[in-house]
Amino acid sequence: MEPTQAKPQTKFNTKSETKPKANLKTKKIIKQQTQTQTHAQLAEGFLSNQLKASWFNKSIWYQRDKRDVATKKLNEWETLRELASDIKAHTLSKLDEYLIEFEEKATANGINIHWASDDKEHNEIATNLLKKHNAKKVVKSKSMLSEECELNHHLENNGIEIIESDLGERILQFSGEKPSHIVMPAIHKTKEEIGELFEEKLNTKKSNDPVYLTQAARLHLREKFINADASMSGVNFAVAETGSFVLCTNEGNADLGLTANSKLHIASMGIEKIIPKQEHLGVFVRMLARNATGQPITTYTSHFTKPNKGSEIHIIIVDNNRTKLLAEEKFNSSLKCIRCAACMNTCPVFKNSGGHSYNFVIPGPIGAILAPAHDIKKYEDMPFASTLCGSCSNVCPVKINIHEQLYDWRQEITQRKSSFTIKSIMMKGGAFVLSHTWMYRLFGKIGGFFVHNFRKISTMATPWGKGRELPDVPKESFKDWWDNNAKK
Amino acid sequence: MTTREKILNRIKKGVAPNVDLPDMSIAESWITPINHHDLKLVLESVGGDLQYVDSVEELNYKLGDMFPESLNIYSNVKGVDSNFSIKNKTAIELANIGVAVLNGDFIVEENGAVFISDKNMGLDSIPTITEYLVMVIPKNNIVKTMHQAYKQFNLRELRYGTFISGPSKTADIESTLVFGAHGAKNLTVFMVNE
Repeated sequence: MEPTQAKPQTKFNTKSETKPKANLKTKKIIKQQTQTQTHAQLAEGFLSNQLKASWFNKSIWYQRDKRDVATKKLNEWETLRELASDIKAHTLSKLDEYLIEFEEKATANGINIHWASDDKEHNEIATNLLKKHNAKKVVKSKSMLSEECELNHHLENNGIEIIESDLGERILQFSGEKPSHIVMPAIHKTKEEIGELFEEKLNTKKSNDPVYLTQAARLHLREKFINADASMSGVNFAVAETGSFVLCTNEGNADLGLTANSKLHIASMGIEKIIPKQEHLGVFVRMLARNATGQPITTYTSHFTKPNKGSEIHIIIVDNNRTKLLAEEKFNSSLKCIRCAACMNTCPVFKNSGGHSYNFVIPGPIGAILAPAHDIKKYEDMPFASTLCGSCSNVCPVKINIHEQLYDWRQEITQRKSSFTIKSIMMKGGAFVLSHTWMYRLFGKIGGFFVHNFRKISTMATPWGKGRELPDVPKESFKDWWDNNAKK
Repeated sequence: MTTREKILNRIKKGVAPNVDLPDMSIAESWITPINHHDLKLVLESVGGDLQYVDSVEELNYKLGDMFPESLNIYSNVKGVDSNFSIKNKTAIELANIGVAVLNGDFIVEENGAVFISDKNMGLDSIPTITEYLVMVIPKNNIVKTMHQAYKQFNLRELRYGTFISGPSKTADIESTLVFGAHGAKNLTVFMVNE
């Protein structure tokens, strides 16, 4: 065990850290291929910079702390969770009816509805709409669905300039990274890194002052807002009974994007964003920001029912594997998620492995139960990135049993597919050994022999030995002790 | 078969258990008497400011104290003078608005959010494009919770409406709270005694 843990500091140079050799190796692997690496490998890379890892851990816990303060102020919090869970569960059981109702009402209000089976269709619809309107400059507020569909890439290939207007997303667009968190996409970046990035991209002076940097981004993005031909966004809530959609931001970028100059707005929503009635918004709006950042409400909670004169609003309703998840009895309640990110802020694994250690677009516990429904092979390791402590389920505003689903996915993954051959051989072998007393004793003796005589090798034999040491092992087994002493 | 039909058919194969919609009347039991002190505290906690005035004259006097005359001021509040007209203005020109003084529909005590509907905005972009935002609300236009707030208007009759709680903000750079991300850098709510 390391006797001295590196003390967390607020200032450190992320570039010139002297690292042990092993870390350089993992860094190299990350650069080579991110997609095929497992969560454990990516987490190892993240942890190779201990100072930064410790700083990240603290930033994430800070969010959890604020969340606790805000939610405890509401005596009715637990009742709100019940209501939110029931409203969402009810909606999922009648999803087709509510989507049809939403479509009818929105169409009557002058909004155009499109349906997309998958990411590809979504991107095509969006591109065609933008091309039809001859839109060359598009501002977009943060949308995890557009990340899921890799929309930006598609638009850029079609000659359309797409500008992320959320500050965190813009930072990542500059650095060419993906979000590491669904509410605070650039939470993994230090102000020094952002300062350097802005120096390069926005010609700012050398600074790591968040106020100065935010002001620079404001000026830069204002120019984009007032010159945008079109705007895009996700949807936080879509109200079936009125055909309206709701967007929640702190920066005001969704509102400014829609209203400053854009004549065409495209909002993308997953089929699960529907809620039945206006009165239900009260429940979700009260919970979303409190649970996400500890604010009593997001700064802007904006409702759009009809397009302005001379403007058009289009909504793309996207499936992209959501119906596949809806057909999964044990797992479909994960579609209740409102993307508050509280589960990742509280997750000990997320805090210690970073958002980029998960291969799926949504990281953390909720990502780990959504991902296998998209591609069980590609994301087979994600449900294993958990301690199953259950903290995620406790903070979930819509009461998704996240940790139980993580456990259930592990069973399903092992049963449904065969790429875990080593694991299943080990399990079968283990079952055999444990069901035969003589085998059990034999392996016990062999194990004991190795631990006593080849301690180092024994530690290295299992991934659990990394960063850990075996405790002292008694000289004799309990059974031997019993045989020798109890009978006396 | 269209994509729409395909998706709806796939949804029909879903196996989400039947759950009844819950009764929302319980929310009424959470309504306690209005507390203006709590409102002030919560609005300040989100970076806004709350002031009370007895008349439009007093409001004008305070606005004069707060903002220099050199700023472009747009107002649609009766009795508060504008020096900036929004007629036939391009987006670039509207971005020059320094102060917008707008009527808010009502305020919510639990989060300090002012609801403003499109008819009170002048133009849709004004509440977010202005540098500083002032919202004026009759003192009695206040509700306790968001449940009540959603009973104050009908989304069907609205084109666009937003709850604004404090100035625009971001914490995207190292979780440091900074005001004035894209929208108003500063928000003052004036409650007018009637």
